Amino acid sequence: MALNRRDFLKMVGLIGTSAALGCGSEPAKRLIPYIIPPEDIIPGEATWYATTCRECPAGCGLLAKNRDGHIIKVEGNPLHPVNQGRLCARGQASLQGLYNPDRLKGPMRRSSEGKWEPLSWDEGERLLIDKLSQILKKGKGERVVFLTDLIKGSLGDLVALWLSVLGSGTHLQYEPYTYESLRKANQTVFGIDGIPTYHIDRADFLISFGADFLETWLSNVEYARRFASFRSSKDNGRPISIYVGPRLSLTAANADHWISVPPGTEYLVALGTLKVLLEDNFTPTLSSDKKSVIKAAVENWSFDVITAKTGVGEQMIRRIARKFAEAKRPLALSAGSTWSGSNATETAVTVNLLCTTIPGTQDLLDFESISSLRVAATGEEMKSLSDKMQHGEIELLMLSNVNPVFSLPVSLNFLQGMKSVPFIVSFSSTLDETSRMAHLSLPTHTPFESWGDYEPKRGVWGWMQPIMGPMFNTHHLGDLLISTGKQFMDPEMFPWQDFYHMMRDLWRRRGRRRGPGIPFESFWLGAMTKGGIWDSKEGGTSSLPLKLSQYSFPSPETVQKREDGLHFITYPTLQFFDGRGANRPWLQELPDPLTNITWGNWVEIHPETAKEKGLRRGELLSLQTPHGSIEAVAYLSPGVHPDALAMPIGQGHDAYGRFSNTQAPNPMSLLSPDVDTSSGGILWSVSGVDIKKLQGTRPIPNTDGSLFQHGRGIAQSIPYDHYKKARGERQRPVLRLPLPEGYDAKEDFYPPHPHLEYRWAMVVDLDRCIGCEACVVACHAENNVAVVGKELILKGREMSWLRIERFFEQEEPFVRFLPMLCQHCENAPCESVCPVFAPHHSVDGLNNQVYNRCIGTRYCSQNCPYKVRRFNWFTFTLPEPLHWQLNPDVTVRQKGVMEKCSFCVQRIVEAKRRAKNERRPVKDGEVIPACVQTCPTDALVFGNLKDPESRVSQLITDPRAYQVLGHLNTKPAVIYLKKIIQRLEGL
Amino acid sequence: MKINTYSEINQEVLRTLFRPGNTYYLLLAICVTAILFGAFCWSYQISTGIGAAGLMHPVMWGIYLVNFVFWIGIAHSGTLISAILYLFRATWRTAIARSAEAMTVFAVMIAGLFPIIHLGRVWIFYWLIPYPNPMNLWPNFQSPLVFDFVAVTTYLTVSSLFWFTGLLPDLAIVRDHTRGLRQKIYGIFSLGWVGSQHQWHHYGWSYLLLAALATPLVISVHSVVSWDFALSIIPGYHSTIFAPYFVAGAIHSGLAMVLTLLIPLRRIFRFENLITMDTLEKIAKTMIFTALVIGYAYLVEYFMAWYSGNVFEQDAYLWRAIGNYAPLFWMMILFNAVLPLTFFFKKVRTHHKSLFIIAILVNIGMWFERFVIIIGSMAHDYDPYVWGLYSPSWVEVGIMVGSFGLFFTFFLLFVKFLPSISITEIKEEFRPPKRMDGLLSSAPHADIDSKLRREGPMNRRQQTHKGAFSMAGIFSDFDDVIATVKILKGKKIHVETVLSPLPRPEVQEALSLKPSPVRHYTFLGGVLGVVALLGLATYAHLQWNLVTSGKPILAWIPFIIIAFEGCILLAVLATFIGMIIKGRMPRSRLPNYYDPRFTQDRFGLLVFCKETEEEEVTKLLKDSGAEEVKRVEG
Repeated sequence: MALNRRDFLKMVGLIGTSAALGCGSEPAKRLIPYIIPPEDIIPGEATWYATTCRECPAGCGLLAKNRDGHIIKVEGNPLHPVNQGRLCARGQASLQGLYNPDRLKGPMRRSSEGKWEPLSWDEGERLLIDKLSQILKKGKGERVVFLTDLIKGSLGDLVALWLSVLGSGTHLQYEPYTYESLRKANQTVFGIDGIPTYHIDRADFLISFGADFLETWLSNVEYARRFASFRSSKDNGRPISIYVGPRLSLTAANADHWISVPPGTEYLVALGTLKVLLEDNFTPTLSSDKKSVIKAAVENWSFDVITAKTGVGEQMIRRIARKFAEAKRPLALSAGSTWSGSNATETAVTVNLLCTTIPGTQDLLDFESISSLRVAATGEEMKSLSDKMQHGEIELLMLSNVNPVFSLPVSLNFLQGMKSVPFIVSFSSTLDETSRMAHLSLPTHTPFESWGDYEPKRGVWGWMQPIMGPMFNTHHLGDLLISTGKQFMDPEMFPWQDFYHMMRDLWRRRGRRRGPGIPFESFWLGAMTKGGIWDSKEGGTSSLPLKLSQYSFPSPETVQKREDGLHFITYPTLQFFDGRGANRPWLQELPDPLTNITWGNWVEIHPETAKEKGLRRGELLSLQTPHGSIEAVAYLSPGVHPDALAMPIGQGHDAYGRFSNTQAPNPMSLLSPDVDTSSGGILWSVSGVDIKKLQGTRPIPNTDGSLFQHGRGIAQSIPYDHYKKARGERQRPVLRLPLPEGYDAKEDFYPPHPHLEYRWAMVVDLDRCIGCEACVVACHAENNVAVVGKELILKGREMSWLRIERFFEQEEPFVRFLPMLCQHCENAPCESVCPVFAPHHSVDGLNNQVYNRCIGTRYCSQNCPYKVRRFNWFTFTLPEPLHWQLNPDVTVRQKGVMEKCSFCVQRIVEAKRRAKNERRPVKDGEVIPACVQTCPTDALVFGNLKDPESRVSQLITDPRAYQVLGHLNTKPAVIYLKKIIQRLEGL
Repeated sequence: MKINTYSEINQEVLRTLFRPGNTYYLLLAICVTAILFGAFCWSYQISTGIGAAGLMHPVMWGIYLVNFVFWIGIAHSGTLISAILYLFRATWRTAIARSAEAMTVFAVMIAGLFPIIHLGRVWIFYWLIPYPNPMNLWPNFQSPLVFDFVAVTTYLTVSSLFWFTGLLPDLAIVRDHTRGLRQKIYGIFSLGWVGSQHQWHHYGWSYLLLAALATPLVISVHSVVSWDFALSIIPGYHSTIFAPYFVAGAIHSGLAMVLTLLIPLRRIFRFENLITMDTLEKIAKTMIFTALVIGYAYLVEYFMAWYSGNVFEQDAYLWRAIGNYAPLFWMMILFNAVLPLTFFFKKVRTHHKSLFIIAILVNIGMWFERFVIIIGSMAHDYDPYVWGLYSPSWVEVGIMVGSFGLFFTFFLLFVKFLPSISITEIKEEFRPPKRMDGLLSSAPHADIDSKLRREGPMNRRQQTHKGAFSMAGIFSDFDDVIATVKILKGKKIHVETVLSPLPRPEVQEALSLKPSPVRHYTFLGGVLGVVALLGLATYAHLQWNLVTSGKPILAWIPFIIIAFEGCILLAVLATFIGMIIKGRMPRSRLPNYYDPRFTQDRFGLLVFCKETEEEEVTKLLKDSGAEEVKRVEG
């Protein structure tokens, strides 16, 4: 290397300086100049594009923020009927699928030694075509299976077309949770094969039999929103919600009552309720034939038997029934597929029967907006596919974005089946447990790079458009199918240049969606801009039929006695769904809402059961069923029925990328290969688990310091009656407002300081907050908050600016959630203790933290009573290309610097700049921090306290308003509204 | 060995400066290894991030700050012994004051390192310093950490100057006992001290003023350290009792450290005749007092928590006693407040073994006290959701070990290179028997003396300078000097000065010296310090104009603390400068009339004469008992 004197001196200087300082900021590595600037990219200006979230079948609308050519944030599309602008944690983390460092970079072929060899797309397509022609030549076309996720839309149509042109083959749309029992029950009771939309928001009494609609059930963002709207007290009082199930799930934790029953006996409570309704003649409007149907179902059951099996007393069931009957529009929900075992269908049928008893309920079941899950493959179909594969009846398996090897019970032997398939092609964009079995990997685009459309439920079409160019050498699945179809089959049948043109063509033909006279181009652009096509009205179904002809309830005698041993139940989590979220570091680091555990899984054991078996928290256990065994860590929780062991689904990957490898077991190993005989659904629970204590313990990476509040009044609550009275009397809450009027010479040593135009503040309604933690991930995404990993979580070094504190109570409701973030105190204790002015107050009342000035004394955190400040113990880095997601408006912090919630100051600055250009003040609701934006239940409200008309100013007059640790007189600007407690007498 | 003469004092103390044994080198090697390990740990921490320590959320302050408070506490008793006991005329301090002061200086230096080690971005630690810069960036003078910075810097400066001032005459002694390069170095540091009564006069005033300034300073420094905690709102920190409680604790731990250092020192160097058991006993008695004070403070904390009715306070203190750090808490109670009470028994407080063991345990207990306060309070504060437990990592332990290595290395070097007992003060305490020429004469010099004595510098210079001259008489008995001065005064012959190895107020009286003007320097310095720091704080805050914690831009209460420290700092600096100027220091060459024996056991009387008076003066001096009379040119 030639080195001239000048370079030499520079290098010596650089090395010397860095050696002397030991550190310093990393120099910028490269800049990418635009030689020919793209049309719609203005450097530094973000553009929002509408698309659809494909993290689960719910199909929420997205807006993706593109800045300088790549996506930096996704938010909910406010126009979309499913999520109305909100997103869950998984949706917020969807970008980490796009930028995942373990995504496949291009097509590959697995050699005979099992090594992956890269190849070109032409070679890849050629291989696929050769294989297809071989199979067709042999006349085994029907032995081709195309296994995709739920792709109801143009892509689904294309797959169907492609297979039909091929002449044969099966398209299975695999989703692990397809709620077969619910479909079966609707078929049985209403004669409709499908899952309706439940208008929880319009109900006035809600009882859920194991339906976790706040986590994963059907469409969690939608139902969280509807639930919040249901619960916000209406004129005739505040409706009550009850949850019946073996586990204190997030939904159970948010219900007014949790009725703990052994797994699989939920339906007996429903049956008992039905019995009371009928026998006490609470349902006078019910027609006699309906009555006779119900009578047949319940007459064999006595309350003694029900109580013996469920542990729920007759009195309680009578009260529930009375409440149900008193309601105008009571609604009962059932789980469908989550953890219900062999009684899933019974539960669903009984619950449907309940829904038919009160006429008003019919308005709540919207069979017009039927879920597209009806086209998904059932557990039975998957089982039969597995069997066929094992018998060598499948010649070619094509996979796209499915991972049945991981998400189906291991005993179903899907993996063994795949080994018997001669040729497997994977179109998935990662090497997961299933796609790594493929012989040929042709990775396709992620939804953010693709054109497409998806119909989550009838009448709602979410459209997708590429928000940025492809990250890697991937192709669109549709393009690939069209191209192979043209080359190999009939080019006439695939007249389109690519999938984009096909989609346009299909939509041109689906003309009915277009108003008369609207030219196609404006329709196309309009729909793309809006994010899709949907009807704006929401309907109900009037007078549902009640058939119940071909369903016979098991009689008490035939219901087998509770087996000895424990029931093992699994449940999908709101972080990982079926496990597809496990390679997203944000989701791995997201504490489980109830256990607050990160980066791994656990077995929930009731403390009594644990005591009986001599088990303690953190101990390593061996769980064994006839179908398999795993080693797992014990977690003692009163939130699970003593007869049950519960374990979350989603961990236990041994492929799928670096973040998913948490050394945790997969509960699927324990499940039975059988399916529910009546509905064909997978059984997500199994009874008769042997539990053995193994040597040793494992540290549990949890983020909570204590389970309880210790009488400190952090998350406060108020009984509904008190609240009603206080509101009636127009009581004003006692607050120490972060405004000059919040000062009192008796309490304040120093005089108030003025705010000019704005005093930013947040109101957190604890009665609306369901603890879903979507805000936490939104905050990570918006503010470049670092992910620290399991080891540092164990050391108590998580970086999250916003945390949902979970406290358990002795009385119902057992759980309190409290979003804790920087309180932006008027008299912030953190500020004056800093020797270098790194934290200080802005004229807008913000508690600013100047990262560049921080020298890391950490005194501010010491002196923060809320402990919301986070310290960069190291310089946290992201593996490429995850750092593409970083928000350029927010500094990436280096080691040794304190950071904390800024109320998304970058958004405030942007709004103020916009307002200044337009010569007006910032409007209420114009500044929306990321957490507020995503909250599915509107629990967070942000605004200006100086404006008496703003929503925050209005809300703080609510008698529920209080400040956490208000007595310290720090005058926090985050004002909480107490959770409302309402108890059904006698429960 | 009984000491009979001044020169024996010199020999006795200076013995440690020569020929250390193998044990010494072994100890030094161990300590230096500890330093190197600590340095390695620190480098590792800087390169990876402060996460190398065991710190976590919510315990953001770990054993670095425990060590900071611990070392500051150690420092305190040095100043207590040297300054406060000086003001109280407690003569038992004499033998231990020097090493206690040295301990102070070293402990403050090490204490000052810890807040820097603890910084997340240590490479910009200088942002704490209020220095003028083009960006006009200033620290926040409301922050307790800035109080800390100012207080610790002031304390280090003051204790160093105080120590150095006390060392000056002794450095001159060492200078006169060495030769070659060592003599040059000691000569530079002794600033040309000759021991004239004028110097002694200014020196005495300065020393008194420094002691008077150091006393409030030492109390303020540990109060300021306690305010790092008391000014925060965390239960367990937020307490008005903290300042006196911390000061008492500091003195308690410092006295224990003095015992820890002196008992081995006394044994190794056989200083039993200088550092007597009586001295140690007095330290032990003082510790009874401090133990009772902190025992009281422990009880008051609990009373206040109970009486406040505040659930957070009550829980914090309950958790201390029964929570995860409870063993440390109970050891703290036992070691600090209970064990020292055994000093009520004479047998316990007069036996070096029991003294040493209890001193070590008190040191450990005081370290635990800081741990319990700093870490225990944070681990269990307001929000139960964030409670968490901290334990130090190997890096933190390594740095702590390094700090002990550094401290003991400093101390070992100190006993090797500096007189570890104040020779001058011992001489002041010591009254040599009168008119016993046999004992006082320097004829049979002890080993060291005979080896080190050689021609003084003045002998050479005598021959080169001509012109005006003076007569110097060298006396061995002090009473003769006073008598002579009186005679000369009667004869109106101008006595230039009297040179002596120790200050003698009688001579100063006889020479009718006025009160030293050094005190004016002190006053001006103090006023300037207040004005400068108030002005700086006001300027800085007006420049930034930022509201912190809802306080006004010019919140005057915190500024008082800064101004106080500034007052002491500048007053002390001014006093020291005053002493230097008034004492005609520093001198690069010693005057011709100087004789090295003046720092040992001889007194010199310097008389300015005209040619005509030479004979008369010579005779007079000889008659008055001068051993030698010389004519000094220049």
